[in-house]
Amino acid sequence: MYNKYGLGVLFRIDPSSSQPLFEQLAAQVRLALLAGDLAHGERLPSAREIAEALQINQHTVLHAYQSLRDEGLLELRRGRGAVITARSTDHYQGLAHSLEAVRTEARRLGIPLSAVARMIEQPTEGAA
Amino acid sequence: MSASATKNEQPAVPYLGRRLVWGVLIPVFVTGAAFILALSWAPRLPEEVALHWGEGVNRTGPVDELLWTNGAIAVLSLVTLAVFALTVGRTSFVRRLVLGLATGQSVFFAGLLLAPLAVQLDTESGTVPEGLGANLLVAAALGLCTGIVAALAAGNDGRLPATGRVAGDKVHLGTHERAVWTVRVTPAPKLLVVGALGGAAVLGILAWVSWISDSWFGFVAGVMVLALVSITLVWRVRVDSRGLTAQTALGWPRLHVPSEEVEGAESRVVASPLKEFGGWGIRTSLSEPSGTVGVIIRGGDAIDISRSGQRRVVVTVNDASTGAALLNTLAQRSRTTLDSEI
Repeated sequence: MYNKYGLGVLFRIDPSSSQPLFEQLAAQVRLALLAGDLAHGERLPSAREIAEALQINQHTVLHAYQSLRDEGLLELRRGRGAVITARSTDHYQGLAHSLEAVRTEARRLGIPLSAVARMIEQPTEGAA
Repeated sequence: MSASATKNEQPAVPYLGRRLVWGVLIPVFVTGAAFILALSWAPRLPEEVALHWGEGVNRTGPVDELLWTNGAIAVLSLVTLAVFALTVGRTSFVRRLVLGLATGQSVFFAGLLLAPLAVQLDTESGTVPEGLGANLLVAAALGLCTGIVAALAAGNDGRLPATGRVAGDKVHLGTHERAVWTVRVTPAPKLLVVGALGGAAVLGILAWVSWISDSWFGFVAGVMVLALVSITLVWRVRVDSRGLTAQTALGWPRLHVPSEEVEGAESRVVASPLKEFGGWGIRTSLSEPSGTVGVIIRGGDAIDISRSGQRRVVVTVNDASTGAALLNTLAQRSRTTLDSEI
């Protein structure tokens, strides 16, 4: 009945994790874009709102938004907040296809995806 | 039998004193004073007051005509809102709106009654009155200010923590994990188009009538009402550790359900806003159960929250199941934190 536009944004952070908080936030926006849950033109909540809700520093959220902007996924405008750019969806098309291929291949070989994730994080010397 | 009877009994609406003062006494006093003042001005007014004017006076008539048309609007608004003030308002959200409207509107309508008379005091019949616009602006500003004061005076809801386990689906959240979910709610495009066309038609008719009669009250009042209505069409809804917060793009009106007062939230479908809530916007129910508050912007997915004290809150949002599950999880967590403190 509804298109995916306006589905809402879920942010979760784990302060006990070794991954920096800004990176955790940025990663979730990237995942939502990959899944198609965020469409271009959609506005993310203000850094202040997220910071207050998660009881973290506003600069942490801004840091996440700025790195997403540097990747070309967000536009930051004074007064309008953070808006998903038109390019962001295309941006991830190639990656989305490759990931699908990796998933299919992993399934074929019977390798759990968590193992594949470890392979991606620690590339073998031959591949590098 | 008796146990279920007690369970179904509605808790009383709190703050009877404040609802009487800001919802009934002050509006009655303001409206009454306006009438008395208007009547006391009668000797200083021309025999035939100007009813509609522009470059020249278009229509004149006895002062009674002005008094009764504008007076009738004031009394109608007074009675309607007094009934609301006395019967609804178990949540501060609704109480603030009703008392703010009751006081603010009585002041504005008193101004509407007095303004056209004030500009004709000590004038001859047939003079073109001046300065009506400024008077109306003052009335609107006073109405707004007193309305805000009444809304602020309407009283907070006392803390009423829910007990027992939170009902409904939950999301998995690690012990140290924190989460927030936000979503924007806008009316369905169809409703928006119909609303925009309807609004434009009303304004067009008002402008046409105003043009013919050379009196722009109706038009200004129409623009103000439409502005107030459109403010309440776009909402931001957030679920975090503090609970659920729904606010308009302007930040007010704002509805907050603290997580500790959530008995359980579920996602459901509001098939017909008109049938279930009698329309769109901020809804409350006069009859059963008087604690229900709805922010109904469009049909479809909605978060339905059972709040302590037999209150209910319904907010239409996309992907309501995510919001409801997160609210349940955080509500359960707030309860365990409280328990561990005790």
